[in-house]
Amino acid sequence: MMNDLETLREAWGQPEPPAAEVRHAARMALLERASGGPAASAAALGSTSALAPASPGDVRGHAGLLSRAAVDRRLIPARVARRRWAVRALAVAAVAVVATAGLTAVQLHDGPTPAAHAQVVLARAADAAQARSFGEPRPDQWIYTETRTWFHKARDGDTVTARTPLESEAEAAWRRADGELVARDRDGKLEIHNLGGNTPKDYATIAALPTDPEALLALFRESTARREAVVARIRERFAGNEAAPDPVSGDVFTFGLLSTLLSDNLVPPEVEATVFRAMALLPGVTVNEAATDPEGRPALAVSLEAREWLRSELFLDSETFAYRGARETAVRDHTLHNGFFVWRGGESAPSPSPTGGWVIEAGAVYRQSTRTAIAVVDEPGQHP
Amino acid sequence: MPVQAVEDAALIRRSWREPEQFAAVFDRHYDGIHAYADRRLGRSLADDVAAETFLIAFDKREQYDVSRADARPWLFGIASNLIARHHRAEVRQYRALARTGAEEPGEDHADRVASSLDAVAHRNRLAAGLAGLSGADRDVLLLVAWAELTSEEAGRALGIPAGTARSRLHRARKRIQAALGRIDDERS
Repeated sequence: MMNDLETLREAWGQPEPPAAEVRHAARMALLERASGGPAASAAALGSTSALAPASPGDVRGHAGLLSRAAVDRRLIPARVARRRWAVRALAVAAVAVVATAGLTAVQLHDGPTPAAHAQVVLARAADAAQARSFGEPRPDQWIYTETRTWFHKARDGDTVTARTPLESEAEAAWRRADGELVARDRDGKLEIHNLGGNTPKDYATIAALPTDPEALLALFRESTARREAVVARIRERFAGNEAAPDPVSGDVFTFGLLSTLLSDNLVPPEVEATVFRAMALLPGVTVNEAATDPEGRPALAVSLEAREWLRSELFLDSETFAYRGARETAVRDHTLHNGFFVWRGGESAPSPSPTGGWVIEAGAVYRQSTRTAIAVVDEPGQHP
Repeated sequence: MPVQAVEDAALIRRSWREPEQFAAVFDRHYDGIHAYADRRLGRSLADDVAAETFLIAFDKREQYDVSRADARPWLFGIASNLIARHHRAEVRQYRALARTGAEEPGEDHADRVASSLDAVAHRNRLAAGLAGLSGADRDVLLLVAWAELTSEEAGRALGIPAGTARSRLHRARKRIQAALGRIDDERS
């Protein structure tokens, strides 16, 4: 007699795989829930990114856009990711001239604003970046970064105040300069992650980014626009619900992407300078030259207030203007709702957060990160 | 240092602060969960159960024990709880299969190997046997047979001690063997 377990297995056989649209609907439901979560602004804090489809061929994924999908079995070939960025850069370069004209008009109309100070300081940061001595990595070398992130693991019903201790996590990552591989250190083991996301991840692509601030901004606003589409869909589906999720979008998301580009990568001087000049173009950007970074070191903070309750800050070394870290702080009391989708008859339906969300009080740090090291090494796993 | 594939636990831990990372867990395991639910409940309920499994898993991601590298037992445990809600539909399905006798191999069965045709021929008896099991015993048996978990993993999935899982598995297998044995008796 056949082994009973095998008989059971074979008698039912392997069912047909789920229908593509069913799978897609289920994935969308998950992404919708994930995107409304408290850490929805991951990209704003030096995370590798939050918005790539699972695979470049997954066109349907573009509607969802919310997974970075560090899927080892579906590593996005770096070449595809690079091509995507290159194509985008070309398309954006074409419209940049038009965008520039529009922007100038707006600035003239608005006249001088307090942001003028920010523009002066960021211009200084850009000049300093441009004057920096810099050695290009070879394509087969690895960019090592070490970061520490602090965050809250709050649950519905919790109240986070300025005194609530944050959780922290250190992470080391190696990105090969040609963009083929990204590895992360987890408990002494290296793990491969895929590339892709909202910011380019390989040195070659980063070095080829536009050095015209408006063109760079337009390029990053394209990623933001794709997120907007998802956010709009979430808002629409939650219309009328008090406990609707409120994911980061708009300029603060773009600001986060620019910040991520600096935090995660070795950025050549020209491009780094362009990032600072692009930030200076964002309406509402301010600087504080007497700030303190998450490690308690004196720093220059570049910040943008968003969503009426959150301040997003990027920290630079006050002397060298080198990237130091980022922080998001509540400036008003705010209730965060995860949102809640229920699954009914083959489709997800929005439903108000059943347990009332969690509260963050004004003055409390929402999350923060610092980069503690960056260097070029020859092998993944190698420390400088 | 060798570079290895990222573990489920690392993805889940990462999703604590980057919720979108959870999509990677979905990409890895959705098809497996769907297939399991499909066998137990049929296609249309499987669509609901598989989707719901990942929504629940996402909500519970902070309670995941990251010392467990493989998330399958955890996910199949969530799916098992959802499947249990459809207890009646499941048993009804097994009874229907038991009545229809050896199923005529449909198109999707066409490329099965000969031995599995034998297995399909046993299906009515197996279905009758499954219908007669307690829900608790069936959960362990099918997690081992269909989800291909070990009895220890099945126990973890269901939140029961490994010893309990083993004894439930033993009991369920004896029943299934008895059901198959009867076929042999009848044929001889």
